[in-house]
Amino acid sequence: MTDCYDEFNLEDYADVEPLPIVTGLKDELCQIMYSEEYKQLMGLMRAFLSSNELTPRAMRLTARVIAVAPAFYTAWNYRFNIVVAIAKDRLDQEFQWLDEVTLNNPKNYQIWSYRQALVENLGQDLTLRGDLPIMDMMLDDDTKNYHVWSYRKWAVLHFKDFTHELSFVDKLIDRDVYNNSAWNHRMFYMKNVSPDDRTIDEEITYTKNKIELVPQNISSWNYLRGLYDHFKPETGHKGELLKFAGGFIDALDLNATADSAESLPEIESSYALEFLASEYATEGQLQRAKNAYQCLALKYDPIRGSFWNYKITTLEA
Amino acid sequence: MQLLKEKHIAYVKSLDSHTDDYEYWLSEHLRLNGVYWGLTVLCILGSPETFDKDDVIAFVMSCWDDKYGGFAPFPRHDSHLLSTLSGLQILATLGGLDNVKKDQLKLSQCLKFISSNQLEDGSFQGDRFGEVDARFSYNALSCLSILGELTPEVVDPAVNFVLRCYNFDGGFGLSPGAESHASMAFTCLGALKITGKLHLLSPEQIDMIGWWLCERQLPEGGLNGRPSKLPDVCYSWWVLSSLAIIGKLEWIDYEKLTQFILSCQDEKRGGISDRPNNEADVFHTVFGVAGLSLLGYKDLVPVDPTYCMPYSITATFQKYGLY
Repeated sequence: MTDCYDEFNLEDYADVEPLPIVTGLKDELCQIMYSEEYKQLMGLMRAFLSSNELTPRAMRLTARVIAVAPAFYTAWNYRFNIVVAIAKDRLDQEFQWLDEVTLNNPKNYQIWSYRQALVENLGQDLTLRGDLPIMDMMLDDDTKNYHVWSYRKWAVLHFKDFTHELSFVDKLIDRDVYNNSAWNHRMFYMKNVSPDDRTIDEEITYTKNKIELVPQNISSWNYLRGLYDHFKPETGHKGELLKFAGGFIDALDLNATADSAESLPEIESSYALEFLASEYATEGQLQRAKNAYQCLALKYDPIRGSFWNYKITTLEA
Repeated sequence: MQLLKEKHIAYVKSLDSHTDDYEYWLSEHLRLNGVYWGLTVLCILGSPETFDKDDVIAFVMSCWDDKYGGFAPFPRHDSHLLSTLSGLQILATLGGLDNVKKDQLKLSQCLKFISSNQLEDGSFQGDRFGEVDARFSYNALSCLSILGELTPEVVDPAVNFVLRCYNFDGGFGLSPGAESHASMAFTCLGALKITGKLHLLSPEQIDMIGWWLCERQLPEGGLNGRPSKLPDVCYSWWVLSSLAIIGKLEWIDYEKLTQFILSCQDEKRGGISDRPNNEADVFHTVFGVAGLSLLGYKDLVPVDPTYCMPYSITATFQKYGLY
């Protein structure tokens, strides 16, 4: 008998009658004309799904079907059942096969839920280390791939291993300071490792440095505000931070009411201005908050004009 | 530029006759979803009769999973929450819901399929293989709502999970702590709206959510799904519907977004693509057209932001918590 991981060979299936699609309909939704290979494969697949044969050749068939139609999740589910039945002591090889499929299908997400099912159900002896190479490789190639990040978060929690995350995220933020996925993962990390006050202060300094590098970056500003809200809720954003944000809008006089976009100077960061506006609003410096929102509506972020005007009405309420 | 209604109707109609197209067959796993998208385009454009109603209902029923209950995206595939919702949406739209509701066996199988995929923390997996995603919470709750079968046993833990997907930046992620994504704002807010639980978000959170959502509009008019990403027509739906659900639609620049969606039309063959000059598909066509309907574009059938179906249909759904 041939092995689960051998090449797919049509001759192994000579005894199987491919099942046609039967919907009991004559309608156009089901009239088919597609490539011979695909037709043959899917016919076989339907036959196997119906007989539920859990054998090496069934496993080879799923590999072939997945290579042709990687998003066909029923084939993945079937393969999972086969692995559980006949190959659960060969996880190394399964992951090797899966890594290859992963590299060939970066946008597919069945891969990651399949990986999760393997790890969760069969991977008692595994560690995060086994997952790192493929995750790192995929995120190196597509640094904002949502499914890889989601899986990474799941895996880190599953293995309770946070030791690689901060240096990994550092590297990605160094490479692209606008990478919102990396900033989000950083917050996920911070919230899960219960950092002490000193670590949070260092983290605030780190974030400010990144903002100074690129002041017009919503991700780093959100992260900074998130740090304060989550770890220093009682301090608020006062004092030093107001000065920090003020540094990016030097040229703007918030004590004066703006009447036209033309009269307003260039500033380094509209997010700094947003931040200041909401701080002033909280502190009761309503005129300054209003002026700031007006400037956003007029010049620095006009596409959200109605939002900024709404913020002004909340001040007047 | 105008909305090319006739072209889009012809485009959706043509999808069925393209069955010799290899790509079409590669998308078997999304077929029922595709039928729902196409049908909804036709409904919003005021031409639902373009599809043969009986044929479509028969096709939907041929996707029923006898073993586990629920709908698969295609005959003999496994049922999944995504395709189960599409199946029920199509049936509801075409007046065929009794095929499930009045069939005791199917109804109980369907309810069992849905509730058996709810996990201890209130989240839902898409099927028994364990992929968890806030989308599936929306799917499950929307299915139960369409069937008029929502119960506190399912709703309360489900809502709990959805609220945990709210993020520090004002957005929602696929699971607690996952990066905020516009499509997840729709699924989470939709889930809360369906279950009458929007009030669990504070006014400050609602403002923050509205800010995160309108922040998705780029200076050229289109919407992206996450910060520093390109605009894409499908976010016209995910973002606009979310804003509509929380009553903050006016925070978007209508004119510029309308122009962006219209500029993504295929003027020759009909259909709408993700960005100007890309290839059209039915997914972007429905979310472009539905987005325009929310923006009040002339002569379109009003669409319900919570269900992405015509209001005339969703008005018949039993409201949870109000009876």
